[in-house]
Amino acid sequence: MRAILTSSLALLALGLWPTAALAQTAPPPPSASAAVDEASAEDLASVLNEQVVSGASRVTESIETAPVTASTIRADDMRKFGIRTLGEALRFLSVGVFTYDGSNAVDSVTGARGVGINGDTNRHFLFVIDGNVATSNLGTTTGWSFGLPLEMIDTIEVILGPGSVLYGGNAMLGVINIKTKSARHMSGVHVYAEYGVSPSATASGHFSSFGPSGDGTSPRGSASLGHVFTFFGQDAELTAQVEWAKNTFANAPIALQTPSPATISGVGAVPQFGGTLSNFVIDANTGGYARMKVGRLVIDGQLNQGTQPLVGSGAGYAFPDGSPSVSSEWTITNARLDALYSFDAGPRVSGFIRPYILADKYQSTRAGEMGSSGCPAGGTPGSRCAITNDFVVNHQGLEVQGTWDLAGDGAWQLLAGVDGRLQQTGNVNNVQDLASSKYFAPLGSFDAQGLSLGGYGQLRAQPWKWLGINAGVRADWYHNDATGLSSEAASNPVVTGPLPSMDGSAVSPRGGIVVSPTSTTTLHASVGRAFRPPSALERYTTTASVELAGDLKPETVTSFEAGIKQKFGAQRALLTGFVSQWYDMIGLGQGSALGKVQFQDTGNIQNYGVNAALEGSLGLQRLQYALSFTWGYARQTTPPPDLAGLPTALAATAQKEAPYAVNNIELQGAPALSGNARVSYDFQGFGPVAALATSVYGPTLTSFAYTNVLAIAQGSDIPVFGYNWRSNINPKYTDPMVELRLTLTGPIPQMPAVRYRLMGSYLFSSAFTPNAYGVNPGGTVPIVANVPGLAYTPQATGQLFPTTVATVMAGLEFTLDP
Amino acid sequence: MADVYVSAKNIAPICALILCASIALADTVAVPPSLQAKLAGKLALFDRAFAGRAGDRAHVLIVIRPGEPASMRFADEFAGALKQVDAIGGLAHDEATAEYAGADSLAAAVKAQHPAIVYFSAGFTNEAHAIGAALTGLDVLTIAAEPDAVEKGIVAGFDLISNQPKIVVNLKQAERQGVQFTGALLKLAIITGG
Repeated sequence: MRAILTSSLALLALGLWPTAALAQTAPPPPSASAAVDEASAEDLASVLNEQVVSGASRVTESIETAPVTASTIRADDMRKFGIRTLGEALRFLSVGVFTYDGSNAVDSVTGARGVGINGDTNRHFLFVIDGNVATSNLGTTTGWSFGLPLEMIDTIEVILGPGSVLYGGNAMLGVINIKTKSARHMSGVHVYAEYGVSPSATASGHFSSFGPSGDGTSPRGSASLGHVFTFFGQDAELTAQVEWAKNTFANAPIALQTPSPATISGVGAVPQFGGTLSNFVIDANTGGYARMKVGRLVIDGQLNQGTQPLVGSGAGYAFPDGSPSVSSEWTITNARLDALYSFDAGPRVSGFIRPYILADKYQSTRAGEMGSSGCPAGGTPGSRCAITNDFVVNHQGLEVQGTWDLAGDGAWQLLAGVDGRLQQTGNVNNVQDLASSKYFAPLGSFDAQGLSLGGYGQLRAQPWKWLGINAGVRADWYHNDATGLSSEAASNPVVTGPLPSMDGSAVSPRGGIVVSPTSTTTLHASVGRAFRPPSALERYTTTASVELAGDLKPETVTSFEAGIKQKFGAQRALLTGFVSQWYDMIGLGQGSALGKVQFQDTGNIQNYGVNAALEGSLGLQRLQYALSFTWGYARQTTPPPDLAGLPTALAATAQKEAPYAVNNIELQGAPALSGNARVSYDFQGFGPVAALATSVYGPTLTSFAYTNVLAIAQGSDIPVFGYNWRSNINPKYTDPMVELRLTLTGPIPQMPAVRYRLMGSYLFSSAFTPNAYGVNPGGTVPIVANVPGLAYTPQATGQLFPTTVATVMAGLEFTLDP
Repeated sequence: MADVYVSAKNIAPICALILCASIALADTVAVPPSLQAKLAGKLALFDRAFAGRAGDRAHVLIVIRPGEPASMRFADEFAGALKQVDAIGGLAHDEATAEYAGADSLAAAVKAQHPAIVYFSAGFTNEAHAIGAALTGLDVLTIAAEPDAVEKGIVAGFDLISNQPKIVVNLKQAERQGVQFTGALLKLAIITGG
């Protein structure tokens, strides 16, 4: 006892004696006795309004001192504004990002700053969940939050601009960094259910009526758990959630589209397209996410399956034999398992080790296509073909990262890491004549094995209070070996053969500077580069119409931005200007023969514009508001047509179109003007939280804009694809879109454990996405016909796919927190 | 010398326990140090007793867990950030760092040095109850880097909810330590603890 007392006194003497007087600041005028008033409270509220981000530099930092343009979307805002999908969250609550829903969840498009790559399955944004990359070659969908239960999300950080410096490939438009709730903030059991109803629209895309049948429905339900506990003496927590959601589209009229030619020689009649789209399921999704933290170890896993089932009628293909019209069905399964172990290596060095596994699978079945590129000529006349596709992507990787506090006070921090990944990509296609059971060849299937390595470093420094510096660079290298798998037409044996390997590398630097001339003003400037490696699908896909690609360079983007962030009490304003140059964009281009296309470099994109935002609160955060505006000019320059190898007559025709093709063309599905605004008021016990939000998009160029069909080869009825030869004559745009939604949330009186959510939304414009829908919507009549001196045979007409014009939704959340 | 030897023997298991605890010390600090420093400076404005306690200069004692790299690192970063804060509760300020050697030792140090604020770096959640008990009756504002420590006996702390900082206040512990927060602060804070 005496010894313990002695030791305690020794520790008191040695340990509690101040080791150093660290600072002697210049004394301001004494004001300690100043009364605390509302002004002081508003001053404190302004600090509490500050946001932090961790996705920009992979350390937690104030959003003011991040060297890029960033915004955060909070769980509270998603609830207040009745957000139901990740796409909605980005559309209504982010700065600089736009999203369009597609004819299914896979078709949703997420772009930023006027740049969106239509049909890229969001592979130009990098999606990160709790520090783990969720983007794969399969792409991602924001339709239903790609399987991450929405109620589990705590924060979505939207980091604009190149982010490959710390994350590697795909972070070209930016990084969407999603963080889930901790158990402390979702303690107990939560059950949530909601049901939405969307009325039918007219053929012109405007509100028609609610009705007992024909309305779209969108139920969603989830159950979640948060628990803090002790596990073998270690602090631990568990969070988990399962969610189910289904989105069925309201009845929508689709104009009858008569194909031309109506009959393909040797194949038969091409089916018509059109009618009333009914019972059309955009997506049905079931998913779960769990995260467990024990001491320094965090393990999280996700399993999700999204489907678009074979239901619905109307606007599919109407077959000559009168069989039910069927378009396609697909299933996406995502599975992910990650672990992160953080460590300290002395008082100045810390880091983590992160092993991760990802498995994505896409399965689709299309039945009934005839005479299209997917079902080649030679089948039984009048028969349909079944086309099935299994596309699998697996990753296994390990990342090690360390941070060194160089000066011991956080002013100079060096971060370095390495990330290695094994990747398997498999693609198996089967095209079968349903009448003869014959399989066609070639089927273009492949099995690719890849390896990628990346190393990165970043220096963050704040040598003075007014100056912050951020500089980093990452080097990536990748290699893929592949084997082709195909089936012979006659006997259908699987034959294999080596395919060319795919190698590449990229260096992604970023430098940024932040200057704070006053405590309320921050200026920032940064320049960075990002890349996207060619996917195995782009490199190795071959079908009847898609030729094996040649060497593909990685896409790259170099971007510069400069901006000012200004605080006025609890209000914050942002103004950023940006300039980006995108190189070597991969897309389908002209093949080597008639009717052939090929993945290749389809040109560069120039992009510049501004982001502006204002947000803040009044009345001690009771009234909160935000608005943002983005103007982004984006044009793509395509390479000149390659006329070599074309028949003389066709080459002459192509030459005539060339002046209309090689120019700066607008990007499809990417509005130059976009923005959102929102305001909410919390009655704090005297009523609900009332929230009004709007998203606004300017006219958006649709996929009708350019002809992808150069001509119908004389005598063959086979379309000649010329994706590089695009005319910009008479492009078609969507109407400007203004969507308004009102949401009321709050506890049910006398039942504090039950909260309600009521939402109504309305689209003040014709409700169409920028995506064409039809037999062969890529080939359009007006544009081709307007090219002087050329007389094309039109293939078919199409129309834009409709989107939801209005929705009313009611939801209830029950919380049990013992 | 014998006493020192004996005390060292007794310290050994304590050190071993601390090392085990260091293995268990996870990333429990939510708000970055620069923002914590800024908030600490403003938080003191809302303590009616702060000026009387501090006098003409606010002394801040930053307490770390010895042998805990994360605790030491966060304290260093907090101290560095605090240098850049002009005033704490409207007063000029100075900071000192001390190693934690137990709640009673800490109480003795508070009595001896009269710091206006004792700031606990990472790693004190499990000690918070003992600290709160030891400091009851003393006139001092305690602030924790970890939000979980507030509920267990630290007067105030900072949490991060959806990327925004929140002030967490243990009102009962504040009363026990003579801290008199204004109603304006309590409207903005999360009240916790018992």
